[in-house]
Amino acid sequence: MTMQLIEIPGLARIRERYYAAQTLRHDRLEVLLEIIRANADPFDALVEARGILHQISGTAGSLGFAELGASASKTEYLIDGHLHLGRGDPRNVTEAIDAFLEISLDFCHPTL
Amino acid sequence: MKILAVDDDLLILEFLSAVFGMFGGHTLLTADSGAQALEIAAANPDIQCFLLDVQMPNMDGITLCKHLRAMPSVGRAPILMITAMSEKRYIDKAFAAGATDYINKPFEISELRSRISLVDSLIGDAGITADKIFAVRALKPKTAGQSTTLLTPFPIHDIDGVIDEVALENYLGRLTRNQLFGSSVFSFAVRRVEELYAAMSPFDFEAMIIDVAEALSECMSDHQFLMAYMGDGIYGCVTEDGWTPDTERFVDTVQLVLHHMDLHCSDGRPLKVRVSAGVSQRLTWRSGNAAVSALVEACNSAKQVAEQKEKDLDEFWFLGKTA
Repeated sequence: MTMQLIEIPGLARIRERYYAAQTLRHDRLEVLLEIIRANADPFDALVEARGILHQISGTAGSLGFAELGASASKTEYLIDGHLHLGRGDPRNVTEAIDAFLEISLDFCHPTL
Repeated sequence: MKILAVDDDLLILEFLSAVFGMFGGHTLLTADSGAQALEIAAANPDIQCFLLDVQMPNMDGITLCKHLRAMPSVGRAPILMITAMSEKRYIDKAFAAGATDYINKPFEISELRSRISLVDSLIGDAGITADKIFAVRALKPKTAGQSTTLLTPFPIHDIDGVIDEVALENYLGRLTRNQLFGSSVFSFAVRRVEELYAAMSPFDFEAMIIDVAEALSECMSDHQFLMAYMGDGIYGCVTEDGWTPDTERFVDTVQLVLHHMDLHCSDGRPLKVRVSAGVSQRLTWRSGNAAVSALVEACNSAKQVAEQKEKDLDEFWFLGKTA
């Protein structure tokens, strides 16, 4: 028997709580993006942003928000490559975070 | 089955609680940190399975896995690591730390259910470390008079890179072709293992197998590897980065280490242990069952080489003579 995500009891409630958590994460990422843009070597901000995106990719995908999860995962991977290997143009990282935040807005709680 | 799930994301824990509630038949405990998990594990020695997120602040899942493995009460319970699909470096570290298997995050409900069902069925039969029928044993059926202990693998703890044979099979079977690209499998066999087994107590035999594992691990310490005792005196290995040993030189090095270890039985008899290496295989574009089959072939090859070496030794004095 194949079980669907929608069959999980209480999923709507968990998703509601997710929107609230996503709003806080989104706001923090906005702050981190500004720090990353303003600094030549924003290592700590990148590490923190990567951690937040990692959490989002795991949770969002599990709750059925595939687009958000995939975008978070892609951005996390990009930051990881930049941190570990110095790979790529730093502007690609800021653009990726920016693009992620565009998608993220749709998953933030409008009342917070 | 009583399960402890550990994740620093409370939403994931809430999600897992809802999912396991839907599955039915399990009791799920949750912890949001490694420290809390250790407290719960100490208070609940009947926990039968752990789900550990790899990336957590303060104490990550890999460190937690090591701590759990060191706990006598729950140390042999299956540990499933929760990790993002692309994180092979974490997967390697998790298996090296004693993980039994891993589950990808984001969770696929059907995958989660099948991994948990597999663990549940293994525990339900006779214990995960004892009843998993690895293909090596399937190819070499037990004959009358042979003790199960000779053929049955057992877990070896606290030696770098040495993991459970079930975990090694899961590791090979689950990784993708790309993840296994550059990996090689090979194996070692203790020569005349049947004679050694017959001549010593089961305790001494296990101690000898552990000592040989330690010698092999020491000789591979400059490389990234995972190794498991497969039973019947055979050790299966997976290495990374394209490294495979020059078998003759490597076996000489292992013999030297074993010599320096000066092995003895518990009754004081000196123990002469020799090992042989089988043919190594690169896993280029092999994954899943094909990768596991490569390990089986490597194990069989080591056994055959060990038997041939002993045969050659037995016939050495008769070479060139005629009846």
